[in-house]
Amino acid sequence: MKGFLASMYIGLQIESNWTKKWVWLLYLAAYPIGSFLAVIILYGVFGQKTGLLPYALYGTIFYYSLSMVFFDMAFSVHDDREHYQTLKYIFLSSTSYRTYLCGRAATRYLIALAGIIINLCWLIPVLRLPFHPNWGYLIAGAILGYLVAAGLGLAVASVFLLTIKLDVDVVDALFGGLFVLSGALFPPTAFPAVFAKIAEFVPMSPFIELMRRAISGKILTSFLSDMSTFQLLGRVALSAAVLFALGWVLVFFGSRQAQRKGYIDVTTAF
Amino acid sequence: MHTAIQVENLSRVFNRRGTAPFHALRGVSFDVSYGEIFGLLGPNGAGKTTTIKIMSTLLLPTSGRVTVAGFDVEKDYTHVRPLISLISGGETSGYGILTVEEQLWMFSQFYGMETHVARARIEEYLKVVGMWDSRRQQMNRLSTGMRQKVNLVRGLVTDPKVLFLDEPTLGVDVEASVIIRNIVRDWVREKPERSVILTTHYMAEADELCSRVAIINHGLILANAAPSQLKQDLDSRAHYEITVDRLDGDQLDHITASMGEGNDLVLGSDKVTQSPMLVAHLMHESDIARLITALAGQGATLEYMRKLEPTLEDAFLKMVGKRFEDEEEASPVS
Repeated sequence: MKGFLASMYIGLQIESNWTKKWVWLLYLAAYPIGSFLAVIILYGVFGQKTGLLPYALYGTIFYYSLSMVFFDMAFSVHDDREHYQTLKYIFLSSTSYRTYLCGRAATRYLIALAGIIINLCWLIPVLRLPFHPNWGYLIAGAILGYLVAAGLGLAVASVFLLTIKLDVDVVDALFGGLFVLSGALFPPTAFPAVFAKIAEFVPMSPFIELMRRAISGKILTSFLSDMSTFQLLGRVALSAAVLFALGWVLVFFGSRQAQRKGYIDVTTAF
Repeated sequence: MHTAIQVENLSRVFNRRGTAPFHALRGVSFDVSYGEIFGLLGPNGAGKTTTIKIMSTLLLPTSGRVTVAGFDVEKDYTHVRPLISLISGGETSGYGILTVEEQLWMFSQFYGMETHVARARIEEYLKVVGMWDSRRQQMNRLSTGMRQKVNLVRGLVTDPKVLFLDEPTLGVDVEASVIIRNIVRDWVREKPERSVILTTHYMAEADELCSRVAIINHGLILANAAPSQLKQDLDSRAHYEITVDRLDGDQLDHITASMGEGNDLVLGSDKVTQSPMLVAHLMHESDIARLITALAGQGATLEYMRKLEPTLEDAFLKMVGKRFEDEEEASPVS
């Protein structure tokens, strides 16, 4: 637990310690805007008639909470190894590297949620977004969302443990691909049937849809509409458990393979 | 149990795409006792860092076995890690955005230490290294020497049983090197259940600190003994440098004949005073008295005399066939 909390602490310091506290708070609020500004323009200005703004905006915002975590965890492997040169010292400490990554993920997730909450405070009234929250589902969803994000982050980290050079393109492609397939931006029912079916099984889809329903109090499109919110919660719990377990196992094998290859402390000109 | 570390027939091969496999270690074996500072001495690419990485669970061996405090580093690494610390030199590791104190506290938490215990140890060791006043300074504002001192404190704060020091004084100034060496020496003396494995480029450092030294080159252990033993094994003869006011070749022949077989005398001149300088390699320590008498018999007056002690560098030269620096330059592997 101490190791987990220390990991959260270093995560927070890395995120916030580069400037004054008030500047960081401003940054915290402003940073997520970049991820959903395009959605507001697309659906709030040009595509007003589609009525998809609440669907796309809530989807994009909650996708952001997950993507920030796995994006950050990919970078943390390389940052700790190359930039800070601390990965080897963390790796051979009493705290398992998986615990460390989960701590880093927790901080990133909480920071993303904080940014989301700040922005929803003005987005909901200004854009007149539907807001009939079910706090129980919201809190349960947020907790399970951490496990989904951490599971994905662990999986990404396990891959990056085995790469010497940081390939940002791979992360970007993953980030973009899942964004479309998870139904964050538009209902996958608009896809051909095969892709729509695939979208249902993208691990982030049920989480995003659960959070949409939990905050808006409505089923906004036909995507996953055949499931009740409670069933959706069960689906999120299942995918969270599977993803987290998978990520946990993958980091174990990734670490062993990195040990075998001598990648734990490798440094390049990165 | 007296053995802190046991290394048995350790091999490590690095397979690199497009090139022949690189054999970093070829059947290395040695053991380290508690209370010992054990040195691994060798040039770049010799295999010393690879050995330390395997011992500290950072790298898996290709074959062979290493145990630390009786635990197998490959299978029981979760038992090994709480008992060890690694300190590498020549790097600028650390979270630059953290203060010295925060950085050290954070790593203590990775070892599950109670905060009050950690803070007390951090204070103790920062005072020892003379950095208590810099405790609130950010890591990225520190000089290389200061960062290395923090790195050393990080390694010591968790009170490990085995401390791995990989070139700990690389790139730091003389003053910081002396402080680091003194701390390491005192740290081992403090508790008998501690031990240190040191890799270094610096022969004098190994000579000063280590109770035993293994000379490693191209992945093979060439020698493993106390520094004094290595030097003694080098040459059992006594060596002297003697400067006299006058001595010519005929006189030298005469003296050489009188000294008997096995005693070698080489005549040169002192680089500063240009006086004749005799380098004497004597079979026995006591032969020096006969030599001085013989010199006096030839009318030579002694100006200066010193005994030449063999160094670890000489031992290295004998075993590797090259001076340390030459080997460094020739080595393509970092």
